[in-house]
Amino acid sequence: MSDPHESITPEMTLLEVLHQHRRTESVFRRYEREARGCLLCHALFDTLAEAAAKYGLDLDRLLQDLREAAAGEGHES
Amino acid sequence: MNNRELDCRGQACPHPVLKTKEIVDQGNVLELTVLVDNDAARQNVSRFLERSGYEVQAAARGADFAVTGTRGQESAAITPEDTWEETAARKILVLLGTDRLGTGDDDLGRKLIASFIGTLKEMGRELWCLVLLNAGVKLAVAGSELLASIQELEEDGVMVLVCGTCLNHFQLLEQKQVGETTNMLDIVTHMQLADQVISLT
Repeated sequence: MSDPHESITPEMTLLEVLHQHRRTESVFRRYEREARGCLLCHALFDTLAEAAAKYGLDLDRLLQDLREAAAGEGHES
Repeated sequence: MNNRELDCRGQACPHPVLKTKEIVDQGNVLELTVLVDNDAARQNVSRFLERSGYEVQAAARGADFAVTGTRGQESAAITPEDTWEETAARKILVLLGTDRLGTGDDDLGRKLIASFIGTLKEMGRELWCLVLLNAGVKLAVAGSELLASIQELEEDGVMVLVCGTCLNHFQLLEQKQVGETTNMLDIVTHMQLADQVISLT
């Protein structure tokens, strides 16, 4: 379950992703310009899929970036 | 009995919510006050506590906000300027899964739903949450004749939740003018927290 590729899915809320993988915060921050807004302020309870649709983000790319950031954390408890 | 206070002033989202979650996850917290200094944190902490089963009161404390969540039999000391959540006898959630009411004649159905929305405020403080999904989301977008009425409800303190999947389906995400775009988990959680659910589909 600690494999980010398995544990970060489009159905997860931003809060769930952040809670499990703190390093993903920088990814969400990076997407703020593209989203033209603060994802972590206004979409914390949205799923990744919903946030991507809402803010016009490439969901696959977002997932990939989040998974890469999470993988950089090493194994989590 | 376990009351906690958390100072999250100076912290931007998502940190106040994450710290609140850490404490809530410890369990047995019947009352929790979170100090925040920005509106986004106030909204998100309030929402998180609500989703976690707390009754939430947010009050200004100087230039900051104190968001207090209580649950169980415990009743926090409440100031006279309570938000409606604390003063309402119960919480009614109205779920609208349609943009017209009843079947038989669509024009009549649209008139009826306009009348229904306009009359909802007669529920008074007990009207807690309005959920719009499927074609119901069309009521919350630019051009909707009922937009002003729903905005009025929201201004009166009614939580308006708009299904994000539905907005996306109808390609109306950009046109939404009122309420909070939300997901099914949020909708289900609010239905669970409500004392009464009135569903019109």
